[in-house]
Amino acid sequence: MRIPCPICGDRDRREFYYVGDAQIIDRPSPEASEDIWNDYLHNRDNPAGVTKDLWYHENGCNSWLVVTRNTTTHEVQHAELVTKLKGDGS
Amino acid sequence: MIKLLPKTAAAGLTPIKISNTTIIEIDTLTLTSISANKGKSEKVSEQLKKSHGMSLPQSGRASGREGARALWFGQHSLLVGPKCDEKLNKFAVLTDQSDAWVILRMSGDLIEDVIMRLSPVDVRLKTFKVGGVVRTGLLHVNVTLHRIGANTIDIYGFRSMAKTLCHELNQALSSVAARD
Amino acid sequence: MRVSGKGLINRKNTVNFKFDGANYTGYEGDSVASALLASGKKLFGRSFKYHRPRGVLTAGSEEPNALITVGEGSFQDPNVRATTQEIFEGLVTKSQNNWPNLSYDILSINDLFFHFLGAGFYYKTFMWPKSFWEKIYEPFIRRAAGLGSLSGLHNSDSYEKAYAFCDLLVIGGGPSGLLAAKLAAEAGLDVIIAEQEPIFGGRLNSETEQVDGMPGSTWAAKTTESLKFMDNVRLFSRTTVTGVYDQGTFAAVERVGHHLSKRGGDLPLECFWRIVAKNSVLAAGAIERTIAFPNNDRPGIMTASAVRTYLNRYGVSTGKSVAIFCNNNAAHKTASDLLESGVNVAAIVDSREDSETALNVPFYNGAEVSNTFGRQGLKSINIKKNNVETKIEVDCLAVSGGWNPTVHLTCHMNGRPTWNDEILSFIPEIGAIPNMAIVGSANGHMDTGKCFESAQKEINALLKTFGKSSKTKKMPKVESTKFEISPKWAVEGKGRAWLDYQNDVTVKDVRQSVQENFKSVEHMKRYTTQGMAIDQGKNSNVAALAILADATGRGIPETGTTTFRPPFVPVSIASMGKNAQGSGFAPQRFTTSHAASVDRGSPMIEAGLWYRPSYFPQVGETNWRQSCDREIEMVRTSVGVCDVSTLGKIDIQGPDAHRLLDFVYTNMFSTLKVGKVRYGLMLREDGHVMDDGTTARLAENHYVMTTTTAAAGQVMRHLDFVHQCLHPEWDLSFISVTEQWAQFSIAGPKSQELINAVLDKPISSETFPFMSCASVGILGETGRLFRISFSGEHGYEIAVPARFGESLFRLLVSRAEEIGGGPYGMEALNVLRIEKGFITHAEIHGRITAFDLGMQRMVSEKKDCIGKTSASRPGLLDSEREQLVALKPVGSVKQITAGAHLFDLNDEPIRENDRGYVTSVGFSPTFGHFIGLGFFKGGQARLGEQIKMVDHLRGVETECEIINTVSFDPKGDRLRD
Repeated sequence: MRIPCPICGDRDRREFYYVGDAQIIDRPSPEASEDIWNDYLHNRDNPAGVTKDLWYHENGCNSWLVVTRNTTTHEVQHAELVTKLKGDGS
Repeated sequence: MIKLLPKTAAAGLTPIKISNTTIIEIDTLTLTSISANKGKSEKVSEQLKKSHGMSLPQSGRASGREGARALWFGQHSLLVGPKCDEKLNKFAVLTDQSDAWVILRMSGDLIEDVIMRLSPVDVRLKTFKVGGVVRTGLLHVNVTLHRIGANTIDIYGFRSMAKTLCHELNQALSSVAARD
Repeated sequence: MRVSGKGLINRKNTVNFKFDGANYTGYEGDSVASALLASGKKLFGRSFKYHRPRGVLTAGSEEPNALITVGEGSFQDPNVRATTQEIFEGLVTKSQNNWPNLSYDILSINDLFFHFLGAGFYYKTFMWPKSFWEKIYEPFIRRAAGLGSLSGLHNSDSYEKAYAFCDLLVIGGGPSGLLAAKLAAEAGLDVIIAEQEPIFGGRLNSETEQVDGMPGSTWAAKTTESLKFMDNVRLFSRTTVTGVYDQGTFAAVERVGHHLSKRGGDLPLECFWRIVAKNSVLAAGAIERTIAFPNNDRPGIMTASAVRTYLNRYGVSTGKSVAIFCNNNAAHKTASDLLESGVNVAAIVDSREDSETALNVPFYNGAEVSNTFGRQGLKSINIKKNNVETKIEVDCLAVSGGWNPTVHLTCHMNGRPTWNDEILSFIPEIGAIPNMAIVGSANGHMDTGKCFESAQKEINALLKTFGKSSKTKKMPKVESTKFEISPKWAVEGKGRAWLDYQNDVTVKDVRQSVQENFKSVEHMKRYTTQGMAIDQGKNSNVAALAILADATGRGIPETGTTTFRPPFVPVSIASMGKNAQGSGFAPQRFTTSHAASVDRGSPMIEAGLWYRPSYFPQVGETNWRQSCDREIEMVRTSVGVCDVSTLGKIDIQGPDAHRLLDFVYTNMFSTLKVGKVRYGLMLREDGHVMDDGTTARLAENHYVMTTTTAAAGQVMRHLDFVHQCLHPEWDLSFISVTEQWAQFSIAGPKSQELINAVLDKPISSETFPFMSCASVGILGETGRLFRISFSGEHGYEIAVPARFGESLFRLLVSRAEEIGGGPYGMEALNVLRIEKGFITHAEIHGRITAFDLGMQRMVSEKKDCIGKTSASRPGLLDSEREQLVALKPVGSVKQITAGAHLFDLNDEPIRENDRGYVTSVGFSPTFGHFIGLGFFKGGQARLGEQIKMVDHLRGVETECEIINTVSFDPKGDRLRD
């Protein structure tokens, strides 16, 4: 498997650390309801199709990436820096 | 007064010479990590140019020349060679990393054959050009590879892993050389 | 028998080798199979189940019969196909699966009992009595069945793994592959071409066909030579592409040393390649299949194409008198080639009614071979035409039941081959592998002209996507012959008709499978073992499917194929396991004091990847406990030195640095004064403890965090996550300085005296109180000093740039020894911290909370932090949770063991009554008894009570008292002194 790191280019998956569903970049506020926190911590979709994962380019540029891929075809469609998705304020 | 005696990271592990390819330790350099403050990359680049003669490197590249270089180092840049000008402090976080890295310089005809047995990256000259910097794994060791010539690559690895790094390079080099 | 003037072997170089102890001679370029056939050998091995005598069936990697063991001792390699093993001077080979020898094999008695040993006999026969399986049946079956064996010795060969990258990977170096590689390379693409044989050319080396007016093999050699001179082409010979993976990644195994006498040095035996290709061309050719007729497995019966290969490539005639049995016109070439070489062709038996031949040989159309004779080598065959049987004497029968395109790789990503009626075979599903084009006979093109055309067409289309076009318009000229075939899968008659030779699967077995309702192709495979093991049914699967289709009344397309999975040919575990044995298994990390510790005879123990001293033995000490006890007493009464460089150190700088710390730690760091250190607790977002450590504030916007040795990498990743994913707006920067600083703990009542011996400016308890930190001068070098303690003693940690680490360690130790101190190791460090109730990852094991540790007050009310919300869930604050406790023995048994379980005193020690467990144990010389740390349900409320520790594994039962977790100096006076 290869992941197109926006900084380093197309790289072998061995360089990356896998986390799981990319939803964990959207942390609820401390005041959010128990249900929202429960979803954030525990509930994950398991789609047959397009999914977004969070990966860390640990043996590379140390960037966190949201990788869009298809679980049925194994196609890796896109990878985006989380800092770019969120805007880093600069 | 008693003085502390320095010891280099790869002391006793280098040089390695097999066929016409050699591995030596580069141990006389000051290394400073430079991390620009938010929105200050351009200022850092300007100041770096004034102080040390090179701009901040682009991703995957090094700037400057032998003795005073700046390497792209992922989230930071690494000034290699001179003692870092304190003026850069104004726009960037500076961290001394002179003792953190072992730098091994591998030169010779077999360098590409050796790295392709250890790292999952394309190290042929057409893709990994002179002046290029690649951060990857060398088997289990995180490394930064810097190509300083067609037949020369500098390998930056954790100081504590210098022995493992030399062992892996030695083994791959022996294996490749045995094919001739 | 050699045929003069034929073959691509080098007759100037003779090569001597051994088979079953006898000496044989062949030529450079021979395989074991060709050299043995040349010397008249027919019998190569015994079959798996019935121990039937078997010869060579094929001339390639698909060989099911001629499996041999190569090499001796630790170099022994079983189940090597004699058809692919090149001979070299001194090669030693032997046959397999026979006793006492190949021609007289006792277990061939199995062949007489075949009625009882059909498909599924294991399942039916060995069911009862149950206890017989392990003691009687299994050992018997293991001895009776099975092929070659391993030496049982450590593998002496070395291996390689490597990565390669290219624009185009051409899989197969036959006519289509060579042309595809040439066209792509000439247009400037970066090309790798992989060929499993030692020479490129594929079938061109086995046929007499002319290309561009020269022998096909000459054209192949010339084309190969021209590719060798191109910088953008890499030719991998002896390399089989074995698997296709995601995003254009291919696995390939290169046989580097199998054909050389030189073994066991640095030269790898094999290299396991991972090739990343933007595009690929599958030019893997096709494999000829046989026909299932009675007794079709005798030595001397082989595929028609193999007979041509032995003749044209190796200059070997496979018999004195050869018959051909086929259902297609391509096999007729075998007759013409043999005739040209002066070999007698006894008959062509073509099952097609309307077939004809221009050759002057006995020709039987609309006929079939109905039986064969000759146990250890073919002697005669029966030809049946119009229900009349004719017996003719032959010593070789060349069989062709058609060709199976090598579709295997196209199925590795779920592709399903489709049935083609014209060639009566499965052809690949186009598009099943992204960016893969399929050319030549792999795509069902059965003549060389069509193969060339398909290669040209696909490469032209590919070049367009690169914005390039082919520089060559002229195609190699070949004479085309249309391939004609009619179905003929099996011949009915008395006697077993083999499909899968390696697994002894017959037509009857497949039909029996259907009778017993194993009708789906996947069920049939598993019931009969059709297509398993080394050859994976390369030449038998399609025929077996046809028999299955017939027996179930379905068509072949509806029956489908089994799933082809990697690897295409067997790959040695050793090549895949390269870099994962010996010292390559894991990297080693060494502290700067390593050599100094080893000099003192300290046994080093692994702490993650690091190596740390266990204890420092002195003269007269005979076991580790003596050293450990002495070192503890030394720290408690004098001073000890210990390398703590393995702890993670992270410099955090910037105007928002304090925000990051407040967010990742449960407690406040923005309020920490410059020059001070604070202990911090870090949670995961689910409320459980991730790590702990101290953080020092060196300047207003400059902190240095320490992590435990175990969690250094995890914490760094976590900080990157928090900064990049949750708070990218924060202006801060952090970097690991673990490797930059060598750091030593100096602990004990005399620590200040020792530290002042190396500081440029001495400190005192007033100028540098407990939990202070500063940048200091250490013998003229700039270092860092922290007044912190993990031992409960007045203590410091002193850091210098790593290059000075060894020097400072040696100096500190020698100065310490002058005042009654010395170095201490991990064993002493562990007991010292247990006496103080300090936790490590033995306690922070992933399931505990701040509440469980009695540290809930460290979760600040004034701010949010990672894990705070979750940690407040009622279930994590339950008073019946397992809480941190310390234990001491109070009964007659004085031992506490880590991993033991805890029970109420009067409860039976069974799982239902379990109330906790012991995590850390040390013998405290300070108190004269063991102290344990552990977790006990509701333990914090049970201080002073007696409970029971039971170690079921070691058989220890100890009455314990729950004591204060801080046994030693509970008020902390010594720390602050």
